[in-house]
Amino acid sequence: MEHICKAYTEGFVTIKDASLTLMQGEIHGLLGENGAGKSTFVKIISGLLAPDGGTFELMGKPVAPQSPVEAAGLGIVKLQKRSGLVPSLTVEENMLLGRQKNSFSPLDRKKMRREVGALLEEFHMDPGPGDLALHLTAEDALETEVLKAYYAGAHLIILDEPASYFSLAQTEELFTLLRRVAAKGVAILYVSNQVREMLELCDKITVMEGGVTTATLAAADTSPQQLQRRMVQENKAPKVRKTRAKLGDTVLKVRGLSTFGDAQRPVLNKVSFSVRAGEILAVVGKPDSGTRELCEVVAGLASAVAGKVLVFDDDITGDSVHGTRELGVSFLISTPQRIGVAPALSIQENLLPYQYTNPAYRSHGLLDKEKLKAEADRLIEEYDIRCADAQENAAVLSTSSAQKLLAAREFSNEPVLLVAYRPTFGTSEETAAFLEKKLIELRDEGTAILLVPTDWDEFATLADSALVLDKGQVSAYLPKVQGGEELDAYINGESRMSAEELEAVCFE
Amino acid sequence: MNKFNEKFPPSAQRRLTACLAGLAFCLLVILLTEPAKGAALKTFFAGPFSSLAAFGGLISAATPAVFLALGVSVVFQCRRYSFAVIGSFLLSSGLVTMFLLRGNEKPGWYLIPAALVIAVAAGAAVAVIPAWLAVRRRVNVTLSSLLLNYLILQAVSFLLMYSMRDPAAGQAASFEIPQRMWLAEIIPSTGIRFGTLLAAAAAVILYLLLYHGRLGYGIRAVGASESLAGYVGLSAGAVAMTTQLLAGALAGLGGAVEMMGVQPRYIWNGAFPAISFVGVLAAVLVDYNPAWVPLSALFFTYLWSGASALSAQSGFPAELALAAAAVVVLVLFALRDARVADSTVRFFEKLARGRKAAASSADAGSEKPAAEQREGEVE
Repeated sequence: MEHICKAYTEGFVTIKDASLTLMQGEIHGLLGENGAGKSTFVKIISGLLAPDGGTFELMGKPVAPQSPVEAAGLGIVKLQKRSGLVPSLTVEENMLLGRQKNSFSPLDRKKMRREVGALLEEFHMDPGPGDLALHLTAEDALETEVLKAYYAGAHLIILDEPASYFSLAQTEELFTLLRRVAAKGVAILYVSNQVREMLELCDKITVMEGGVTTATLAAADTSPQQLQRRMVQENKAPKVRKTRAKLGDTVLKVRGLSTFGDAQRPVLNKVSFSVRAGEILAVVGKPDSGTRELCEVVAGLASAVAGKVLVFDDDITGDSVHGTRELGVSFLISTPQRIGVAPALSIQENLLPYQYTNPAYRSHGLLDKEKLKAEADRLIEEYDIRCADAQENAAVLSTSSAQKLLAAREFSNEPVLLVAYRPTFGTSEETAAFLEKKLIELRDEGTAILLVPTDWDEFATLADSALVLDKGQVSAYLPKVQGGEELDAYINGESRMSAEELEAVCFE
Repeated sequence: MNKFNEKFPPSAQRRLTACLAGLAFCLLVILLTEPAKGAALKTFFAGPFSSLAAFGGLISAATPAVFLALGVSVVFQCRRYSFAVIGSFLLSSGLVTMFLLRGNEKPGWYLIPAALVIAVAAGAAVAVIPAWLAVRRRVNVTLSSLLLNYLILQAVSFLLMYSMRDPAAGQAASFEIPQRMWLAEIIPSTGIRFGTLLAAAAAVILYLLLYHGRLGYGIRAVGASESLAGYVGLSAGAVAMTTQLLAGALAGLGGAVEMMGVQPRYIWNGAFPAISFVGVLAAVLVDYNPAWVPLSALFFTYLWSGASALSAQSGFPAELALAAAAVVVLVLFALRDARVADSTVRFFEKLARGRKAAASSADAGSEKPAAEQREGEVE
């Protein structure tokens, strides 16, 4: 594929000159900052957008897919960020879907069944052929889709930032599968902004910047630093530093909190702690240790079975989101669906839900559109949300900009308590550094912050004190974090602090 | 986006094309089937413009549909595809008829406001049932509202047959509601009554509510993404209930307006199909924007009254209007497809270019390739 040009003005991303050459059986990485044009480029390859110029050859023949369906017919399959499996069908039925020539031609289901079973076995897949797609985890669903594309005879499989929401162990499984599929002669184009993932998985890496592919490097000949430099021309944002915490009154008190999961298994078990104003308490633990559920309960998104959650001695345990928000609790909890942003509403409408309901933004009983627009423009400027206009639909935002929009919304609300669950997940390092700086500013203004850090760097940068959860129970509390502490033993459940030590965190 | 699209946005182009297609369809059908083409065409197309009274009749006939279409607009903006507004309209028109016929000896100053109150209450009561079922029991609101509509249709028909029916009328119809109970005429000798004023006011208020009000933001936010609404602390259930109550009350008011001066008898076969059809389609045509609903309702009523007049004159089935309305909506939806829209845009551009060329040969360099306009077309 050579020199694809695309004047794509709507989404604020323009591809100017992008080229890519993929070999059979190669895992090729497309690396770039958010907004570099990776997704747009991939949309052109998969037939979703038409290029304005350039050439596109597949196996030596020029092709020009006009739609994703046509591209799939040519053997180019792009996996969607959301699962493309039919939830009510089994893994096997999903794999067989679309295999018949037309709607009426019969299927040799027995033979296909054998094939699918053998395939799942061959690639060591976790889900069985009879599992319903809706019961699959996001990772298993993605792996099933990869295999489905391979089974359908794809020559090129494109994955656009698939690992954004996975934990490290899960990416490991996905990478193993991708390597196996590539070994069968399928080319794989892996799109991401994570240098580390790229180096681990890919044979070759093409760097994209500002709509131009700047270089193609063999993964073996390059280093993370080199790639990072190529990705952003200007120097990386300086390391975020924070001053000593000025602790205020206790804002959040959690006492004996317990919740149950789907299988009536306790997810949180008698969790107690406090967070003071001007403090960042980092809660760490393995993915299934209940950190996420803890955030959800405090935010009012989920309910507790026992225990109490108090904000300034107001009991908010049974309150819904509406109630917790009233008390000045903000939260930033990213999920696969990124539930905080509605693509069909404008950026302004996404940015200012609290202002829309605030009497200060009304004149003569109606919304004061000018004041709202001024506020939206101010936040767009301050948080560097990349868009042409606040009235555009939020669907045009890049992943990083969407995350910055969420942050702008939640941080600008003058919260007394902020619950941040992995706040910089899936964003570029530049954005992450920016958001970390904002979190520290918020802390210095006296907001109590309950943080589940995205990674260890963020933990070291942000945490004032730390709480370790293991299987839903508090296993350690560090009143002061200097950075570089060894918490692994507590996280893995190998050791646990005494009850007295843990009570130290339950100050009034 | 070029200048032409700025002045005349693609969505408006689509609507206009769809309306023209509907009219062309009627023209074609009449030309192909009617023996007395000239008279038929005149009745169908020019009838409402033949006199002030005829035009007033058109506006008056469109008024109840405006209420219904406004109700549909708010619930559909909230993505609650409830058709309970039709049931609201039916029940309220039936109850209002019964109330007025029974209260014959009471004075007008009591009867008219009381009837309006009954209408609003009845309309809201109907709409609240599917809304509540959806919030509490997760019953599909489309299904439950459609089933409820049939129940209400049968119930009101029962009332009609056993307590309102005028045996002298040729069809299943109620006694005529006395003129002194009708809403006041605001423009003499046109038949345009106070209800039209109410409808216009309702359209303006709803527009402000939806696009310049706090509740409207909630309605659109819940419609756009329920998870966003939950995340920021808007209660989707409460917003959906409020929306549907509001829609039901509006449709109920429409039912009262219909009975108090537009259609003085409750006719079994009269109100149901035409009004509900017009009401829903009028909202769909303008993407549920209340500001444009009155115009859109007027257009569909124009089709319907043209076909009714033709049917009275020559026996041609009045269902022609329904078929034409279906054509309008089909064309509208087809145009949402980028490829179809592309060629339409080119057509309009050529049209505009032709006119411009006729006016002056200068200023011809502003056209841009159609591909670029498509960007604006994608929704």
